[in-house]
Amino acid sequence: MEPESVVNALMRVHKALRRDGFLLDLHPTKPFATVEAAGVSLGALDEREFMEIVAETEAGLEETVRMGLFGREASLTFDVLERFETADELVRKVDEDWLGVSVPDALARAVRAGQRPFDIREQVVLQRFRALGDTGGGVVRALRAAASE
Amino acid sequence: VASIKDPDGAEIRALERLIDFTDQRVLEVGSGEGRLTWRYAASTRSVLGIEPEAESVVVARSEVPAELAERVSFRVLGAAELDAPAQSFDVAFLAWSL
Repeated sequence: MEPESVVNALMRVHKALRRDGFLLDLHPTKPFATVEAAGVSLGALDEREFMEIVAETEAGLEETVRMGLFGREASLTFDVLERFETADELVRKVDEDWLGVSVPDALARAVRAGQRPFDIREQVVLQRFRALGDTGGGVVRALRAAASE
Repeated sequence: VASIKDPDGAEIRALERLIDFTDQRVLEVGSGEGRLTWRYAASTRSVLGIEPEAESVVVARSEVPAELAERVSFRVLGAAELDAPAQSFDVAFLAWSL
């Protein structure tokens, strides 16, 4: 999602939230996701394109903080696993379903030579924001400013 | 492709450290097939999951646990089209969704 679209979506979310309500955002963050077989790390997925998308999203989120819609209160970084029974399932899932992510050839070969279970380990960040201010005036001013640029 | 996301429950542990869902009106943006929804919804007052993929919403609606049926609902909707009444939620949760 482009930063402007993220901002638009978050303005709608802000309006729907009660004053002092909470916004929670969970998304992947660097370093790149790694693949493990039987708990042994085999290498990293190629997520360069995906991380560009993440950066755009984060820019949109930051913009809403700058606009005064949300205030960041807390953040946690942790790992999330996705577990596959076979190496082929892992490779196919990434290739077919994961936008902007691919399995390098050497990693695919290593995974297929590995032992189950096959895991993708992603680092993610969970952030808590507080909905700030009024739900009208600040947003309207920001929209007018953006439109006049 | 069959896979299990977060078999260790790391997401819900992190969520519970940052928010108390008890009696909250929750908007989940990008609710998918409800994978995360089922993990936190029991203590909420209500959950509306919005998800742009209609097929995912069909799956989510078909898999709502009986004990959550009265408090959880799903709509086919993207965040950019959100039209909820002002101040109608206490918590908005963007789950891998922006």
